[in-house]
Amino acid sequence: MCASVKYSARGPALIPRMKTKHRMYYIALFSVVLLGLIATGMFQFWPHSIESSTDWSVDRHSVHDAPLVHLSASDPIPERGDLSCRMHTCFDVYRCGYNPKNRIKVYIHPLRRYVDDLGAPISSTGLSREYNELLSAISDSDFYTDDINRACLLIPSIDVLNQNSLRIRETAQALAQLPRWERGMTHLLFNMLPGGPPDYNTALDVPRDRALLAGGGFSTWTYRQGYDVSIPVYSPLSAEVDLPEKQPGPRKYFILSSQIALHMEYRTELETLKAENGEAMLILDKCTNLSEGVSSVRKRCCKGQVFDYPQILQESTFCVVLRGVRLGQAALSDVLQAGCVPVILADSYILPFSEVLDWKSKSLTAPHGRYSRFMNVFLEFYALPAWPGIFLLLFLHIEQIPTLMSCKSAFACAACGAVEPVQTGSMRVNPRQGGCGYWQTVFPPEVTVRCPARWFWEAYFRSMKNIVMTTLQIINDRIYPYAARSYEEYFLDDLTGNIIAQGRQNALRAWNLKGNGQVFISMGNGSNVTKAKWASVNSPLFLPLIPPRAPGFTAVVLTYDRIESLFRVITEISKVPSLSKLLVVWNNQNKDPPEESQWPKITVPLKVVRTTENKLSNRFFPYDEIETEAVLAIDDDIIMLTSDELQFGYEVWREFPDRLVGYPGRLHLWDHEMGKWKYESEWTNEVSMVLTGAAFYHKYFNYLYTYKMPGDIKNWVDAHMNCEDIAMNFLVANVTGKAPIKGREWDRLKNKNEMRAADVAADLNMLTLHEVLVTPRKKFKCPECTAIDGLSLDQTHMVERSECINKFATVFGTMPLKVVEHRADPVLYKDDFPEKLKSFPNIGSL
Amino acid sequence: MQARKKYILLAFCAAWLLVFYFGGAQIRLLKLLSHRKNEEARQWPQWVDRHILRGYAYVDELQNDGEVQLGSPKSKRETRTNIYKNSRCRMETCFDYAKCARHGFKVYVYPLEKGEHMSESYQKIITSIVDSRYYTHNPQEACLFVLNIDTLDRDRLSAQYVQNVNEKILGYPLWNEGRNHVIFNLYSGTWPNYTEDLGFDIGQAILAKASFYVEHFRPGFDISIPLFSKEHPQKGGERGWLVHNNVPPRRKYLLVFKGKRYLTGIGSDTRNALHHIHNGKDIISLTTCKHGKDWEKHKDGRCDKDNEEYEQFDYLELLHNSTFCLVPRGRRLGSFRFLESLQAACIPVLLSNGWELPFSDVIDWSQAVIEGDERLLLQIPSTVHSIDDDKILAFRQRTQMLWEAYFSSVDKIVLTTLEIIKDRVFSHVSRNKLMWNSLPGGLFILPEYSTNLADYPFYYLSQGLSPGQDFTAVIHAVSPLVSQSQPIMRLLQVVSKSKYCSQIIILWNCEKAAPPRSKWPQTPVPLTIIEGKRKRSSRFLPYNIISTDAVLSLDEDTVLLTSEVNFAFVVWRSFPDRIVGYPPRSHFWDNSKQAWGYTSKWTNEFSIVLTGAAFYHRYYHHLFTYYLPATLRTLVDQTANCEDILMNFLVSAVTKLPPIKVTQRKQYKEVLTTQGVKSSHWPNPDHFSQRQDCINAFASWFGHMPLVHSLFRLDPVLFKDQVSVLRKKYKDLERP
Repeated sequence: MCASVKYSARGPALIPRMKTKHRMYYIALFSVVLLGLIATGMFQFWPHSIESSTDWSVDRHSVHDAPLVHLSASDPIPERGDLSCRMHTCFDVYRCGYNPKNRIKVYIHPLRRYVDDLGAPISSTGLSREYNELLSAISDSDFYTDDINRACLLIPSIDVLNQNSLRIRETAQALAQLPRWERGMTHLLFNMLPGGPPDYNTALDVPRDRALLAGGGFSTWTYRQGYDVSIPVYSPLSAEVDLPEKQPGPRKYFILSSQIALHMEYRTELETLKAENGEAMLILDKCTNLSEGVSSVRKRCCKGQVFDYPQILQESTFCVVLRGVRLGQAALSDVLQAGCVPVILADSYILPFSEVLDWKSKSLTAPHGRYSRFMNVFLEFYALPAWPGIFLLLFLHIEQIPTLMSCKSAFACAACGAVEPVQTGSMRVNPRQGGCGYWQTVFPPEVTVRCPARWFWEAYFRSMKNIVMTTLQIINDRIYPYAARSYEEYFLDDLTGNIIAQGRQNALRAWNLKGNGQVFISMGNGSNVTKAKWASVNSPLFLPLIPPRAPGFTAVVLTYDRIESLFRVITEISKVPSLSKLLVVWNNQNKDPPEESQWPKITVPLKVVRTTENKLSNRFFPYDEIETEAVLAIDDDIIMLTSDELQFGYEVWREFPDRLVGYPGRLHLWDHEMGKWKYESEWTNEVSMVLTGAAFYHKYFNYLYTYKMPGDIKNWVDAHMNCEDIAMNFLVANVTGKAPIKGREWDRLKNKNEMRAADVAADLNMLTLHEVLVTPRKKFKCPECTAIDGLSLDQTHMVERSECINKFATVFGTMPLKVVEHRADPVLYKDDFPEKLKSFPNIGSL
Repeated sequence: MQARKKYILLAFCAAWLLVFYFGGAQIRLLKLLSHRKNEEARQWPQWVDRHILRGYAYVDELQNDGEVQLGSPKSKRETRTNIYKNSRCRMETCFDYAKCARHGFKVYVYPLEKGEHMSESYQKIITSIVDSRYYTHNPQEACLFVLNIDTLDRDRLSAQYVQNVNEKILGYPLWNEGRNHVIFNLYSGTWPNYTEDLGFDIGQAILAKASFYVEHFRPGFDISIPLFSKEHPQKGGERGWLVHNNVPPRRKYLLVFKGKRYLTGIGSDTRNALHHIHNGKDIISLTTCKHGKDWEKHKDGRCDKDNEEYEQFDYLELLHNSTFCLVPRGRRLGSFRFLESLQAACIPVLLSNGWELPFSDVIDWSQAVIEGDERLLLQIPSTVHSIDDDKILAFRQRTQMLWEAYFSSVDKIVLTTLEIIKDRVFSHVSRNKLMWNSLPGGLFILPEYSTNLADYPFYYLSQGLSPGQDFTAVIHAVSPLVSQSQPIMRLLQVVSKSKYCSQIIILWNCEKAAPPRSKWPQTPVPLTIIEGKRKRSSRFLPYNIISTDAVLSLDEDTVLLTSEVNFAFVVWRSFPDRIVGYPPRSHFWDNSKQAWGYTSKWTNEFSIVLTGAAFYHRYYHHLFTYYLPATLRTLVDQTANCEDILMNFLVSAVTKLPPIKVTQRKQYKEVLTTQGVKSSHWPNPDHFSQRQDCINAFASWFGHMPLVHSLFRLDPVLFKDQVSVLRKKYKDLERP
């Protein structure tokens, strides 16, 4: 034993000194371990390399490496498209099923090269650049799945964008032999140039069974409404040419025709129009005498004069888009990109994405039969009192077509759908001074407007990716109609991430609303420059309802431990006829609320809610106990409001259920020197906020406050124990776009709420403070400043509240607050009329 | 012993290695699997040669698209017109636009033949058209024709079925293969298949039909209308049932259905399955077999139990208390239940595959109903569960908006049908989808006024706009100009001093000829005199000269202060769709007379503000003149009274809200009037009884009482507060 200890102490020498038997054993053990390691290692690396060589994910491949598939002449051919197909008859909805995300899953068949018996390819293009982009876009999106079994929509990798390059029969055969073709159900084909000579069908001629078709050039006879999707004809020119967005302003031509392949009949008609309208109209044609090396597709000519295309489109207000042999024209995309208003002259053409886009507001369509009179169509427009909001700024060469429109309508038409034409008094056009050069005053240089027609292009036409994503979204919305996500929300989330989704937009609006549709306008108006961001708003409570008086309101009193004052408040409120329930939010965790027997005896139910944390946002929690629509938020020290005042407040709220109806009003101002927002509590003539120390509002806003407050505002409020009322004002104004309503209050209240900071510091003094504040009502210079000795304390408080405004404005990305100059009083308020006949006599009296 | 131990150890090691070896493979395999699942392992490849791929078309191929055109487009168009007829009709091929070019959109109704039986519903439809502003009795002027044959019920088994329609219509000289005709139909086909066959050849007539199947629907040509009962009111109609926007918006039941179950025949598949989703708790789906005479013949095992349960619930109670209502197809695709649940603010869940929804070309139904799929009935519960509260809130309000805008009366249904056709005919002067789908609804939007949203008072918020910053004052002058101290002179001065005033229009409605411009005082803003032809309604004519959004309507003897005007205008900018004015009036229901009453007494509430001094949007001029029927305007002209009440009716009908009253200093002339001092303005002692009659006449035309009471008035923020007058912006208002 001793020896062994000794040996072991010598460690390294152990093995050589071992017995042979032992040595053998250890060598065996060692080699086993070694072999095992080697084998494992080999297995780890070697098979992997084999697998990856067959893996699709490796990017080092050429399209020419795709496996070859031989079609034989006897392969089955699908049936021609079935015109009666609709989602509920031809689409295999079971594959999509219910899924919590409500997203369809799209699978792309792997690329194959199809050749016929003789080895000739079925398409002269093979996979085109555009189709490859399209498939990549799908593959990058969250629609994509690589598992054919989970897919609900299948996309062939056979490129049928352009029928010109296809061999119809063979392409059809290739489609039919796709795995899971199953009579085309759940397959989606993309086609932009349908038809072929001589008839030029308006849908793809390739027999395709029941497959969905996203086509560019459908007519109403081939388009299966609710099944097919009408897509634009992509213009590769827009990828090549970068047309910077043109600033609003006059354009040289009124109407432009830039297509080169017009039928003679059309050209003659256009020339007739031109003869009538002179220089305002420009008709371009192909250039015949271009020098070598100049691409003819980028040039247009008119009587020897050469113009650049598509740049020339930016020089015109209206651009004619006529049908060629096909209905869909790539020129439409160019025109939109140039911000020119398309005048689409193609009967029965299904406009791109017409299922969701409201083209009526973006273009002008004229039935073909009346084509020759289409100038009259314009004339009819101008006879209207104002320019129809179709689109762009319309400033023309008035000298050239004086008969077309009067100066007046030229100004009226400046709307561009987003900005009012006449901003301020200073910009007002004085008709007596006349002259049409005044248009400059309508749009001062600092006003920038992006025009909707261009925006359409940017959102839906710009790239193959935009086109395909829009198409898939449309199909997705059909399959999960109840989940159709509004496009606006989508857009806001993606772009900014911090803008609150403004209610649920209705989808139609959302599709047609520019995602970042707010227009920045600096309204220069002397010294009062305010930077306003004009956002469009759709209130979540949009129906004009005046709820019945009957259910009354629930008063929510937030309290910490001022029992005495709380009880007084409760007693006072209980006198209000429309009170239906009282809810006391007990925000003090260290102390129990008083015994039940100690509470004042009132006729309506009284509930006490204990909170787990002393937070200001507890006041705005959507308690289940609140069963009425109307909530009265009231502080536990607001004892000066009379029951008439509260009842009147409730009545006013009934007429404005989507607003905050409160008593003390406050204002935000733009501080020029500091270049930021400032909080103002003085007696001003304007109001943009009401304090929630006493305010009526809809319970819905409790949800918004608790669950949808943007950014970190909620935490900020709780951490600072301040500004919850400002936050609420921001929230409501942002979601409804409306100003609060200030009710008539007993003036003493005015000064009270500013004491929040003091509140925390000098809790006990609170009651006396009120008493103090009532009397010196004449000293209005700054009631808060003189209120208590700690002048700096109030300064801090004001600074803090200003800070809140600035902070919230940043988080909201806008200043939603609206300033008004009115407040609500009873109809006969302070009228010379017997008090006893007034419904609310006890208001504002001292 | 030691050796044994060692070999055990060795074996253990070997075993461990083996486990590692295979186990590792297992782990790798797992990894591979999860890799495949989580990541887009098999993305569309990034081809190395993707940049040199050919474009799908050459640029000149795209640009030269028209060159190879063979035939002339004109002749092609003609061929097309000949091909696309009857079941393939479109407006371009089957509708004669030329008929509408001359006289605009006029509708002619074939004269009713005596003794001809006509159903109540068709009678209502005809009445609606005849009373509408599009009616003409001259077929030469007409753009659209409506038959005098009741085509509503085309079920051969029905008592209402009219025989020999084909022969009749062919005898009409105006029929013209049905061109420019519109045919109304509610029921088509008969048991057992209920095909959509009308039993006569409609030719190229537009079909306005309930329960339209998408395949038969000629897009852009036909119109799908809702199925309505014969009790459906002619005018006005009941309001929606939603009075509270409660949150959380869920009601007692999540989803309900109570109705018939067909044991056989078309539609039975869907209805037979409905009991599967019934859970007796939040989803109530009750069916009964009892219908028809011989139901017991087909009776199945479920019937007795179902019938029993069926009786336990009340249909109306379910409708009121459910968040969603199942609207499955009946024998036909549409059912009464659709409108019922729409009115009840019970969000319809449609199970009616292939139903072209009512007015689908203009109404965006995706925001008001849940379109389910008959094939996926069992998914419906989870689908409705997944819809969040915000959406429910919005959908529910939208059901009400649509109900009140388009469906609550036969008048609205018929007018919507006509307006849709009109929008197609005059497509360049038509409403866009937003106008149709937002308040106040398409019927209140007259596109002839403008197709720009910014010109209407309703869309400022949704478009991120605000109304213009100036107004036009329209002064209604009735007494001759004799002295420079007349009230109108003072009024001119006061109004023109307002910084928001951009022009003044004097509407000369006096017997004497208007004095020349030189007789009027110099004003800092342009002054125009317009001849009013001594008609009261001329006050609200849409004069082209009014170019501002706001109009300030004034009587010549109105006494106002500039700051009152300014304040009212600032208030109006916050409420651009309402009337903002000074002197209030009120209506009330007089139980003793069973009629509406009118009072000018000082009361605590009001529902009218007089337009003798009021701001409103200029669009209301247009609505007043073109939306209201000539009869009402004649009444106003004949009595020389009530035009202000009519304007209040109109605006309240549009907004469903009361007008807004703002502060007014005392000494307004109304005070004098109420004290019995006769104003020269109102020589008629019957003034008040006349106004009472007006209110009743108006209410009967609108079909309901649109006026709403309000309890408050808007004052400047510091009004009568005990603050130094110097601080007050509108201090003049408080002067005694």
